[in-house]
Amino acid sequence: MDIDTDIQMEDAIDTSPSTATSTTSTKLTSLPPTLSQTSPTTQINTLDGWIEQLSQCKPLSESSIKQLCNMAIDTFKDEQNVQPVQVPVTICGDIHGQFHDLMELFKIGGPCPDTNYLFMGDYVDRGYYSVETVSYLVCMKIRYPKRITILRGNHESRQITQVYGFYDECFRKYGSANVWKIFTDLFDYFPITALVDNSIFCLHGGLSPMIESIDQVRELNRIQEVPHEGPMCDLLWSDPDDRGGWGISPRGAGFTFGQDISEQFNHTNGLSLIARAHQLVMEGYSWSHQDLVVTIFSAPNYCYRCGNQAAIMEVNENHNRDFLQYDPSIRPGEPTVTRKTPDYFL
Amino acid sequence: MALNSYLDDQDSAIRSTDFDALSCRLSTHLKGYIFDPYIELLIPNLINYKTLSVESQFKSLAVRRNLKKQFFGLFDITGKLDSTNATTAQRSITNTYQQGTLQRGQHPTLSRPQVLKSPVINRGTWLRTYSIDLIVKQFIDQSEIDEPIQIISLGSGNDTRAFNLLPQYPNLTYIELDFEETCKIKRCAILNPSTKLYEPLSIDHTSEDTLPQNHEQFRQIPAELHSSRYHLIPVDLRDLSFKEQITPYMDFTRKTLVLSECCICYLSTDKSNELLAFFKQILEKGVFLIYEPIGGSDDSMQNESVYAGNGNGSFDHPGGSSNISNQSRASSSYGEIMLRNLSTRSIDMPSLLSYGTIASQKQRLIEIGLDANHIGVSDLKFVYFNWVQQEILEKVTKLEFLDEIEELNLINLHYCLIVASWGFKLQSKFTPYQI
Repeated sequence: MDIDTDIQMEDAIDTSPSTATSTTSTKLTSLPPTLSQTSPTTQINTLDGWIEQLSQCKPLSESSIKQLCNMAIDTFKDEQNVQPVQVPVTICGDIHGQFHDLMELFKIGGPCPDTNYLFMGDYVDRGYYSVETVSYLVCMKIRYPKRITILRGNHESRQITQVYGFYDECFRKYGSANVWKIFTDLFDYFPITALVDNSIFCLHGGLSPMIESIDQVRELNRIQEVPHEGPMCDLLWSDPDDRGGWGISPRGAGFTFGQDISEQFNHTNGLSLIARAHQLVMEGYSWSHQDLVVTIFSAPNYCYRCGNQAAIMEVNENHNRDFLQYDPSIRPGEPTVTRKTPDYFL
Repeated sequence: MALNSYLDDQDSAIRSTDFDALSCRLSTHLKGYIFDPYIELLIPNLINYKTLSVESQFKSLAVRRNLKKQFFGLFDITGKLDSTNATTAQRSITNTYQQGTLQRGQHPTLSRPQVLKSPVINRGTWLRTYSIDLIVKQFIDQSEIDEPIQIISLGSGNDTRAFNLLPQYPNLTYIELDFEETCKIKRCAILNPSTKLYEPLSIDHTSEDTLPQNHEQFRQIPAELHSSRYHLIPVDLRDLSFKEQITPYMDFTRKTLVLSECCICYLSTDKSNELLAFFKQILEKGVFLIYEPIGGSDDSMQNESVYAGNGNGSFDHPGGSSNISNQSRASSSYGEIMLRNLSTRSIDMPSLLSYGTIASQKQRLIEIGLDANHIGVSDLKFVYFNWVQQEILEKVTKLEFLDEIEELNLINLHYCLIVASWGFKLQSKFTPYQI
């Protein structure tokens, strides 16, 4: 969408879900008058209401989710496979349904839209609040489309969410799989990579042996379920490794890539850095390949069990990088009283 | 009185961990990691008799409901296997120990894998079972065919090893020690004529063994059970006078494996050390096989990232640890968080930080009087990368998709396996140890 970044809600698309189908309303200006029954102000109010409700960690109704995701598809489908992002921006890694820690992240990094954010995927699964987490981030995206960028992680997929919790959480909270279906259909539209000022290539997983240049990413058809193999799969699944060259990933999808691969890729594409998420790192961030690749992980005490710190990376106007680390937010009684103790081998 | 009821609660919290372990094993069984037909026969019995063990009827309904949930809702309200799983239950019970543990593929009746434990827990549970079985097998294989040997399982709970091992090894005697309530429940499970779990234990079943129908009857049944080669004995492991209870059924001169699979970690460190020293003293030829969590310490695991693949040149595992740059924080905070999480269930684990490293675990055994050369200790991450044959690892990784490689490594790093022998040396040419 062609929207002025600083005018925040005029860009929210006017799609009253009862009257509009997302496919017919790609731009605000192209909306037929009959679909503009809801004024942008009302849209803003609706979204702000949702954001307010979600910030209390209260999930939206199924009909609101439907409405939200219809709006979101309109926003995401116009984004690119390699979504351009300007500095300054704060780059974040996996969240995994740890909603309270996401709120902590916004405290540490500064509220959106005052701070621009780039999230590199894995909003759902594992934590107890995947629904609230992904709803909140998508709301923020629609509300401030140029202020926040949301990429797809390997967990934003139908298959993985059925194993790692999002499906079950939706079923538990809504009594059916409808909300899971609505969200996973939306995930297909998420951009898969971002490029910060033509210098930092951001993606969830890592490189692919089938991708030598960023232009090749632009040619992919991303609007589909994450495939089991191939370049799109690799971008969401691969990991950097100490060993050179390409290696078989122990995850069963994607590849491992060595420093030689990163050097070549960054050189070919004129990059200074690959920023990615995907792997638990105990300090919240971790450099590899002699600072050509950085891993950022933003879920502290992952799965309420791992004891790791989380981090986000601020990149300022001068491309200086700063890491902000944080621990789990203090929330008495959470998760241990209201929720099940994490599994151990006992 | 208040103290007693507090202690009762603590004991009951510890007993509850037995069901955690069993539900993990059921999950790995259904996923095809292990093949343990006895587990499906045991669980409905346990649900039934555990429910009878509760006095208040209201509470017993809650217990039954929770147990059903813990076993993934696969067993119906009477405690019997859900009919959809009948095929698995009725499959003939064959001895699977020799066939290896990976004969089965996916469980045919479960179309939704997510009802079971998460892949990380399944993989770790399989590794626990696999590595313990490996040492047990080494111990048995090292005996002559006619040499009587013993396994004494501390806090054995609802373990099924005896069912699997006894029919296969006629020279083996198996002794299980646990809380009285746990023994009572297991005794009922074994004697239930509909599941015939007494057969593999060579117990002559007679109709005189009446099974309890209500809580009052449950209270009055005995907890002990004996056959020529199997003994189930209720003891309090904190009180060494239990020696009198076990003496009639044990031969202290025989080669004996003392197994603590997450048992002594719940005792105070003094009590656990006394217990180990006790067995070291009464047994002429023994081996401790201990599996338990280690909480880590700030200065112990700085070098962890190097050993994925060492010790056995044939393994070359990417994605192991290279990205976990500094383990020291995790080592202490993992244990602290584990203690905190367990405390919400009223479970204390005194050894977790006191013996939080493989080095301190080894040291404790040296102090008990074992020869340092006969003690091998490894964390389970080392075991995963060094003990498991490549083809087995490949089979296992194909069973289900595991995204959480780093988390698996982190968790495995916080469990250890200890093998320590005296009076003889357990040959372990295939199983290198870290220290």
